[in-house]
Amino acid sequence: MISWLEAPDCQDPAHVGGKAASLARLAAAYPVPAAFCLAAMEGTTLSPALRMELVEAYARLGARCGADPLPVAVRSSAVDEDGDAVSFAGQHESYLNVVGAEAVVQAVERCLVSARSARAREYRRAHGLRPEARVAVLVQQLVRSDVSAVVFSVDPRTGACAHIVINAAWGLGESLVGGTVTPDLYLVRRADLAVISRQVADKAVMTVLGTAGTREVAVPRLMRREPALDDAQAAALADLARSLEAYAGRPVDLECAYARGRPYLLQCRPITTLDRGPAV
Amino acid sequence: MSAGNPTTANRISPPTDFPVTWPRPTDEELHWTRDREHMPDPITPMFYSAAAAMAIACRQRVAAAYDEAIVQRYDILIHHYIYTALVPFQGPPDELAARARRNREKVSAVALRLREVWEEEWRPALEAQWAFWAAFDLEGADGPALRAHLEESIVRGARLYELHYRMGPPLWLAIDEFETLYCDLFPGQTRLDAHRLLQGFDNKTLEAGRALWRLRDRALSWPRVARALVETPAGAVGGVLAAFPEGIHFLAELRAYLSTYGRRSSLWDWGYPSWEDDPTPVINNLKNYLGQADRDLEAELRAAAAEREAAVEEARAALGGYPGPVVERFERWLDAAQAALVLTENHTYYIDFNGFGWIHRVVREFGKRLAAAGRLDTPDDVFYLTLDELRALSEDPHHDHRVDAAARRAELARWAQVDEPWELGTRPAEALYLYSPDARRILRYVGGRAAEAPAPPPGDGVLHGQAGSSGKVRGPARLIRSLAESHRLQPGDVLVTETTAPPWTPLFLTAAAVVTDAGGMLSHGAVVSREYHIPAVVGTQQATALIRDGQWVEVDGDRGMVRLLAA
Repeated sequence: MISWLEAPDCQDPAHVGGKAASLARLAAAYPVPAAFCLAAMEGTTLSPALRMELVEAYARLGARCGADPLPVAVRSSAVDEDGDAVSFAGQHESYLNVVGAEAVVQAVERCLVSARSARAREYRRAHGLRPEARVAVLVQQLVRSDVSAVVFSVDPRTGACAHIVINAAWGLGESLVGGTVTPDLYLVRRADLAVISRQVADKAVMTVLGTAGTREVAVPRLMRREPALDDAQAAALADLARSLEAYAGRPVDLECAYARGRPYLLQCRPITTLDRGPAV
Repeated sequence: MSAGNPTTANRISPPTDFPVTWPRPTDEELHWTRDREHMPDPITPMFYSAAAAMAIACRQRVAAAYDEAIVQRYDILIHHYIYTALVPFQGPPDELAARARRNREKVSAVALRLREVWEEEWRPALEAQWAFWAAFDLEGADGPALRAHLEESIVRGARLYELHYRMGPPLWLAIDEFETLYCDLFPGQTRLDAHRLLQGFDNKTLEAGRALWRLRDRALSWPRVARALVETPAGAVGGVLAAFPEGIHFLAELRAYLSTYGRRSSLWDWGYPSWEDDPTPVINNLKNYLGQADRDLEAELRAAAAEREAAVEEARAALGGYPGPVVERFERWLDAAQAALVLTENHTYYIDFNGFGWIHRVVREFGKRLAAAGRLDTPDDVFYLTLDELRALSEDPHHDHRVDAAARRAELARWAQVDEPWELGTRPAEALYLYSPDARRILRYVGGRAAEAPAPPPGDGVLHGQAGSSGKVRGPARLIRSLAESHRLQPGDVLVTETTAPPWTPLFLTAAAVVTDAGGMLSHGAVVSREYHIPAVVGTQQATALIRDGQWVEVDGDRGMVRLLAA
């Protein structure tokens, strides 16, 4: 019932849900943080045997990543989630910075329960889906992000494709994705990955890891107006976006992170809100 | 900016007992303030004239090297008190901003390499100067050799000043950056809390304190010596001790102490007698110490270091989940600030006190010879002449310098009785918050009146100042105006004084708390109070005016408050 991200069966959305399957496909060629998946199941509690499998897998993940206990993100991955027509973003629970086997088990069970919530059922009904989902749970190494970035392989404001757009901020992605921080804006020319524009913002807040979970704190004033990315990092992220766009066959939006100098791909989605205006 | 466009509405009227005649009419348009932290007393003519000869060119040179935004600093002597006016750089805002950026880059570059720069540049340069003075046989030199030595000393004194100006800005920046970063990372903590991560490193001031305490222990090992020290007035101690063998042994140890730590006056004006000339301050401290219980100062330093390490570990643990770049900056500025704080004490040992103490010695040698020749009443009178007058003495054998020296002594004594005003001239229309972040730091750390209005009288019997050192203590206030009367300080007393300098810090081993008129968080009074774990409130402006000797006070070092309790 445990499926490792690099294993072939993890690429089957019917087995591990849409989110985990897409990540697994990406993990083959891109720097996705290590993870395993508890395969899709019905019901909301774990049998003792399953619980033990989960705990063992978590220990193995920790050994692989060189941390004990390893901080992880625990996320639901519903079968028929992240299909083309529907984005389930924000509908299912995810837990960041879960530490220790007991906490991981609890987080997994909470994911299973929330997939059965009234709100989730209503969402599914409204989109013409079966009311009861089979839900897998992804347990992934949590990267202690120095910098988080959202990368669009085309300009999401205009659809222009001559440049790649990057927003970046300090710390983990929540402040960036949640919109509480005003991020830096980098424009990278698609053709040669030259940084053609750099707007460094006053980045007032950042998300950091607590002893458990995450929290948003003030950025020290001496770092607020420092660029979160240097040109080489911006170019590397743009290159990643270019490559993933080719892989996906259409424009993509990425969530990335830099930690200890290494880039990580956290998420890759087609840009669903792109207004397909005239090409520039 | 109103410096060039004053309004008479902001003109400051001097008090009636302090009439002012301005050398030039335009002088009155500037804002002149007193540096009571460093120069609380009237200035001796020798110090003022020698400092002017040595310091001015250096100051400008270093300011240019750091791209300092202050264009001009003026000093003026009014009734023997130094007043200073700072005229900020005038220019288009973007030029000022660019200059401030360059200034910050240049100063930061040094601030982040302090240990290296100290070991490889500054300390060797200082030790070379000391070696020069130590090698010269003052007493054996003939007239022309002594004259040449004086001139060489002035040249080398200028190099001491230059090093002093070079060191200041990066030290303050390092501590400021760390304090700011710490407070940003840990909301609810104060700048004083940040200093817990900087305490417990040894420095020359603490070393001198331990050496003096060891002298106390030595005196106690000879009961007759201890009795002599306690019972004899300071001025007569030498004679009494010289009359018996243990006393002679002790005097030798005292001389050894003075030759290492005593080549300095009690405050920054080295025109006043040094401890070598008159060891009364040292004797007074010994008197205070002999009445106290044993103390292990090395152990106290180790405990302070352990406290620091615990605070650092706590901070590191709290930052465990923070982005790498944030943690990296924390470590970088922590290291810089730790190095800087030690240097804020040590530079005063190498430069301000025991450095210029060499020049004091040279000038005093002239004084000894002139007194022996009848041209001065006492050797110390030489400090009541100017440098140029000293230089011209041989060309002017008939001029009676005794009259000049006596007149000036009398003048200085007269003006020392007056409460000179904090400020004169014209207060600028907007607060003179200088374009230079460096100047702002100086004002915060060392205190100064340029940016603030005089403090209002205390309401509810509470004086406000800056939090200098943590803790709360009650005790009788002891107003100590000079180290000549420092024997009056008893254990449990709250030391109340205008300012303190490193030579005053031995008193902190007796005092229960420290309260000063002048100064800020990096004044020696604050820094050393923290190392000795006694509460301190600095920069109250008016403690010596409002607190009565013997009056019970409560000192709250964390909140920067002194409560006057019912007398």
